[in-house]
Amino acid sequence: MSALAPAAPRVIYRRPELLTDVSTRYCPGCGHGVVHRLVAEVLGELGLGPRTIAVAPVGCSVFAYEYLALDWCEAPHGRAPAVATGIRRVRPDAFVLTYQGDGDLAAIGTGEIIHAAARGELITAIFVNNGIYGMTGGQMAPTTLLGQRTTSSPTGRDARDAGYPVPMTEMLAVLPGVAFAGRGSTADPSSIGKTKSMIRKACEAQLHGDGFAIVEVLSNCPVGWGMTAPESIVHLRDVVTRTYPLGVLVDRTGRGRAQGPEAPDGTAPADADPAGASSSATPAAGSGDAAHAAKEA
Amino acid sequence: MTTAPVDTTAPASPTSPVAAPGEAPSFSLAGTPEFPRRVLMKGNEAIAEAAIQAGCDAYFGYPITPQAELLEWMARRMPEEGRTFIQAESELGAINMALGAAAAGARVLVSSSSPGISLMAEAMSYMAGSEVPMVLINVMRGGPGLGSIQPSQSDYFQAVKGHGHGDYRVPVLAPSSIGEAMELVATAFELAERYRTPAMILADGILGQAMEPVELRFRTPERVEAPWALTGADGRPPRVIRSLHLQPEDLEEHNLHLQEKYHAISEREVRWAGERLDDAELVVVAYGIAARVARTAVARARASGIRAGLFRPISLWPFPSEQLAELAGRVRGMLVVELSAGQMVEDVRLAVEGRVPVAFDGRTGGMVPSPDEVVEALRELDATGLSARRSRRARRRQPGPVSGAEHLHPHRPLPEAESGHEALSIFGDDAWMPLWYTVPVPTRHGHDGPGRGRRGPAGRAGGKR
Amino acid sequence: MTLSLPAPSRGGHAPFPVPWSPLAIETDRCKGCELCVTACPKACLALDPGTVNRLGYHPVQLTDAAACTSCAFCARVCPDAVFTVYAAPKEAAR
Repeated sequence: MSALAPAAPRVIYRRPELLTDVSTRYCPGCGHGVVHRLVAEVLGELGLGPRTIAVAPVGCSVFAYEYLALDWCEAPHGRAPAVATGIRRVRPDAFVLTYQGDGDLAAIGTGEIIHAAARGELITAIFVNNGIYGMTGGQMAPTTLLGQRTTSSPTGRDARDAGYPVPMTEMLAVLPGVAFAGRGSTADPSSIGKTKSMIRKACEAQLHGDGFAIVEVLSNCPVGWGMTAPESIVHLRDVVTRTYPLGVLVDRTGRGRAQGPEAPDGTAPADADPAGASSSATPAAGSGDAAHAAKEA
Repeated sequence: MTTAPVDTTAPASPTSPVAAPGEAPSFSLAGTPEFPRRVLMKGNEAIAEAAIQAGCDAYFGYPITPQAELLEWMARRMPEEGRTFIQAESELGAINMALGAAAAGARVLVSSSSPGISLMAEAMSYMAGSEVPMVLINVMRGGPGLGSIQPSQSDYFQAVKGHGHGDYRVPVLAPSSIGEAMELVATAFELAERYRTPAMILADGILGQAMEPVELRFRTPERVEAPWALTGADGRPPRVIRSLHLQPEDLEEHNLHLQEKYHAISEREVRWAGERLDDAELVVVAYGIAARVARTAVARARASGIRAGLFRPISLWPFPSEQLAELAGRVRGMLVVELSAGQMVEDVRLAVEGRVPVAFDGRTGGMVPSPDEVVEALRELDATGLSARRSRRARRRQPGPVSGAEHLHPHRPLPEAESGHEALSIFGDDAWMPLWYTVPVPTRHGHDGPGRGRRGPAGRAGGKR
Repeated sequence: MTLSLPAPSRGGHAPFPVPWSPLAIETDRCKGCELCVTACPKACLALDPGTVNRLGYHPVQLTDAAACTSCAFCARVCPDAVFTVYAAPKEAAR
């Protein structure tokens, strides 16, 4: 019998290094903590920590610069994609990431996100959508669901005066400059895993020069929704995804940066399918390959 | 007098081909240091080229009259120089791109006109609070609202009194000629980077659209070390550029730090120019294009017996209050001329603290005062300037030039002006010489063209002391 | 609370001489949100009502180490990254 040497337990998971030691101000159970962690994991795995310049929003995650050990620039409300564009253009070697909430991106910042996407800026946008304005006390957001009660829609969102929830990522996916657009959620371990791989894909789109990449992450706001954290997860999984289906909306990665001017008919040279895979709302299973196959079909 | 034909290599048409990388750029600086090229250039384009030669790394803009040519020049020339140009989706986009690029350590320029500048107020406040340096040029047009596309000076309050929210100021420079505007672009970059603050150049539609002979000589300010710039936390602690300080004690400390900075700027960066002030009884105070009008008015007033002089602030913030206060001690009255309903006049009145009457003459809505209107206003000031006070002053007044006039420096030298470097402004007593005089020819003034080598009684604006 | 050691692995190797836990929990980071409690497929996590941590919450604790399979679902759903998850240690190869 050979002598047994006690080996150390194998580490399956440990707290990512890019998370600072600071305990976050987020409410117990808030999805921002999960998304911060996923960003830290992906950037760490890709070795991007030393190269990243990230842009922080206004909203609950205004303090992101305290929780992720990266160079951060604070942007005015909604302007993060423009600020990121400025950084991107003068620092070609940096990895540029924006982190925005639904008010920041889908309300006051619609102009900036659409045009950064239209220009195909080589930035990766993380869009945390919890359907509410948490930082300011729980008001209605453009992505608030119909019938949802918030402090500025106390009787429930009514389409007649507040319109319908805005599908930002579907809208952006149409633009040829967008290399990757996907929607994940923090509802359960499986969704979290798929969201992480979308975030990774979105980072790779920037690294390979494919174009603009955005991952919308459906998240919860227990305090704003008036639920416990576990209840809010159930709501996220069962109710929110009916309005905002999960999956990869468009995957145009692999084409590389178009060299030189576009073709006379206006399409980017490598873009054989300008409409992308976003014409139908059918979500893929969340894997890039399936979406790619759907696009080719 | 013959002149050589003026050959401007700046193509007149915006559809001229852009030079490919490696080819000679589409704009040539041919000429020698002794006889630099003088070309007739549109203000917007001259300012743009000056920014490029000053080392501007990135330009972000949005088309708006009357500064669209600045953006178009940048669109053509920046890619030739391998630098960044973006026509943004709006002025909001442009100024925020500038915030990002400047936070990453680049030398950044943004230009717009009054309505667009209003959109930029938010980001200016953020940049002041985050201490991010950049230069913003406002080519003022008539307002308020959509207003007109004609020139005005009605954005003085906006520029000088903070523009966005919060307790902050930005250095504001006001050129009166295209040549001066070219020099002030370099100065603005210097100020911005030296003090880590956004800086503004307040021009107007006339300066932007007019064409004047300018010397193609530029200045490239040295880069200042930026240990705060965002470059990626590689082997060093992460950096954060932000203006959020939630604890009131922290924010107070931060504001006190900003105020200290503004105090330092106020002490060191006041710029102004004066003409015929030594024996003036009435002084016209005007900046920018109004000063050009006022200069002609002063000459005509002198010719008709009024001892008038011109005080021209070049830095609107910090405002030359001390110098105006000194001046108030030895003149009978001041006339402020602006293309507005009266904005700088308030700062003049604050500076003189009631010691002399301060009258105002201005036109709004894009109208430009004529020299004769200003002369008329001077006559009124002369005649009706409170005769009781006048007789008291007459009793107290000393004959002849006031001793101590040597303390009144007409111009503070630029802090890093190189020796032998002449400023580019042609703002001298002969600025109204005919525009055909574009080539340096030997004259009785010397070889360097009009105005060079002359030392008028109050010096030349921008002249080295 | 005694820890039960893992069952012998394939090949008949003896169990480890030192106790180990599949989870290390930074209790002072926990905010008692219970997302891990709901996510755990083996129901071996629960808040500890007898403890209040530095943040003022009842932190989570591992109630049944033997049932834990080191699936790391708790770590996946935790917004505050309080978990370090270990797998059953393998002996060093010959």
